[in-house]
Amino acid sequence: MRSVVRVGIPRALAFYDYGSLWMQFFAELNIQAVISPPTNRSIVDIGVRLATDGTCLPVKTFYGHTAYLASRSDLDWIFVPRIIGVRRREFICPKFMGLPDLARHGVTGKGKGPRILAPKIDLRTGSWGTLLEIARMARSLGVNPMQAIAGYQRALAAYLEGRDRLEPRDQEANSLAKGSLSIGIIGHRYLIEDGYLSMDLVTKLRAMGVNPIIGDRLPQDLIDVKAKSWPKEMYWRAGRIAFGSARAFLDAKPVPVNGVIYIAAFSCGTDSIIGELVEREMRRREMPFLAVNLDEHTGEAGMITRLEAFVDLIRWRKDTGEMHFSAHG
Amino acid sequence: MKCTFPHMGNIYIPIKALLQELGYEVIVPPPCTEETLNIGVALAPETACLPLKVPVGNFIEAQRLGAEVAIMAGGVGPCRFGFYGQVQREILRDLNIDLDVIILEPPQGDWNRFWRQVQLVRRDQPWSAVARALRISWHKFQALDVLETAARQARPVAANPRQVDAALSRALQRLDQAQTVAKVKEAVALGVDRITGLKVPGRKPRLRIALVGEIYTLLEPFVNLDVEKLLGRHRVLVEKKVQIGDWVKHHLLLAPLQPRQQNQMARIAKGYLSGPVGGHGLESVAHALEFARQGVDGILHLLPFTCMPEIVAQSALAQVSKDLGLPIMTLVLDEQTGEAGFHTRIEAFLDLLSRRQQGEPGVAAR
Ligand code: SF4
Repeated sequence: MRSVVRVGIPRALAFYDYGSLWMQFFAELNIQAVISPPTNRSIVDIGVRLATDGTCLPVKTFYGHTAYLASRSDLDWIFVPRIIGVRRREFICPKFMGLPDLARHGVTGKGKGPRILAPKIDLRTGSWGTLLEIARMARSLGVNPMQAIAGYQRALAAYLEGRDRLEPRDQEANSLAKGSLSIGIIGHRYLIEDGYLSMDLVTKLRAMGVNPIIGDRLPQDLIDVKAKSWPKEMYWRAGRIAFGSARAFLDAKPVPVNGVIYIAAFSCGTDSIIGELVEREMRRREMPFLAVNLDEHTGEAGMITRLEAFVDLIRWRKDTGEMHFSAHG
Repeated sequence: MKCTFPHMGNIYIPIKALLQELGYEVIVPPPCTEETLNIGVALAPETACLPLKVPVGNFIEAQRLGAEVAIMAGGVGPCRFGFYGQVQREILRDLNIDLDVIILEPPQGDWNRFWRQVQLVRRDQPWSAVARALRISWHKFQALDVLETAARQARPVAANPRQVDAALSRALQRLDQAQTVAKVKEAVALGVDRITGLKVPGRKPRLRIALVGEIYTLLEPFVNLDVEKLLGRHRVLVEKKVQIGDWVKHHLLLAPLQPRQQNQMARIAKGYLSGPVGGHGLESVAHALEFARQGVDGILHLLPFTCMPEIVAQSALAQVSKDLGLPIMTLVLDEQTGEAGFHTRIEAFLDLLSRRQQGEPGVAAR
């Protein structure tokens, strides 16, 4: 093995939440991390080819990113953690649990080239198991396990601090926007923040003079409190954020919004349920609501038209105070 | 109170017995038909799977017959199933349909809530009635496995597989009418006798095929387009490990052993799937590997469209098929699955298996 271990990280799925933590962790261990490039046409095309038909767009894209990394001969590993849950009584989408297996069968195969590095992350019952997994992973990487655990803890502390710093700043931005048109955005980060997959939807909204308020960026305690007000406790991480932010938007917290957009992945199992429940609640409370379903066939032109129509509608509603028209996309 | 529940294969027999013993007036939804499906498809979210949509149709058809409450199972994740009852309840509520959905959540972690649910369903019935209800429905659940297995084994070697279907449905009728455990046992014995009596001695099935996959799809013939009967008519011996009586035994009676079982499944599936992925994903892979060892000729993997755990299983099964050289066909079921196309695919699969069996060269797996 080369003197420097090199690990590839697919820029997909949980990377959008934990990428900075992972990069910091590998840096602590003097391991070189290589991130796949931002999603582009060829990554998606490759992913679509490798994945089975009913798979959602984000997982297809994950296949594409992993394939990109697998084709690089300078990598030893591809980092695909098996994430079960990150908080108490919360799961992640079941597909995340099988991700390393998907990567192994669908992409890297049993040949040479980088192997899949797959620590199991389950923080539902505390962090002990995760520390053990990190020690085990360290052994594969040829790193001292104690050093790896210490490195992880430093990386985690830095990550948490960074996240806490982020939230108030967003709030500030949100309050600045009072007066202009605000739209709450619900959806997976790996969709919204992937400019290619979401067709830069958030930027486009800004260009239309809209202040987008991302549900995922609302303070965690607000989300937790608001999520509790639904009839049944949500057991998916993404679902809790969607439930919590939906209620926050309806209750005009932290700022009033004039409408809500739900960005879903077509054939996403969790979105089909969460989206349905959220939409029904929005409709009952007469909150203008637009559901955008993304897959590899979604056309950009059509989406812009729908966005514009939606924004026009709520702008008109805001200016006239007119409540009684159907504002459901 | 007039009470209903969704269909899933023949579970209406034990569930009806349970609820009747508890003093409910039971309205069994009419058998699933095109119309049931259409109702569900029209009202449920587009990308939800059939296990959510078809029960919506069941509920509405039962409500038309006078049902006032519907009983539905819940769940604690990570599969979507745990929220189906919620969505169904809201669909009915927004339509102003007067049908109350009672969702029974598993006790995991919240015994208080579980107790409240039990009390809610029990109402003022004495515990002795509850015990009696549990006992008879338990026996009926187990009876289903016995009768259905007998039919699966008899079909491919009967003079006319349709006679087996007829004998099975008569046996199910008798089971449904049995009021006591003794009568249940009688119905089973008679049923098995009649069904196995139809076997032609010495006849061998043409092929052996195992069914794996998502439980609702495996159990509800309307959703799987009656795949078992179809295969039986093609003289195929069908095997499956996912059976309702067995499921009840393992999830209710032996629930504390669940983690141990999951570990065992994970051990079997090792190299293909490293742990549970919700629903029956892990079981599908483990069962397929077990069936492969038992020498089946091929495996059918059934799943509803957009089912998350089974999509993960599907990719693992593709690898199993490649490694073992065993044909595995995945059938994704949704409202667009037409009978004609479905039959064609199955027949093509059977063709492939037969040719392989005859050692025809160049016939690869898949
Ligand atoms: S949550 Fe939805 S979009 Fe994300 S991986 Fe799961 S099915 Fe795909």
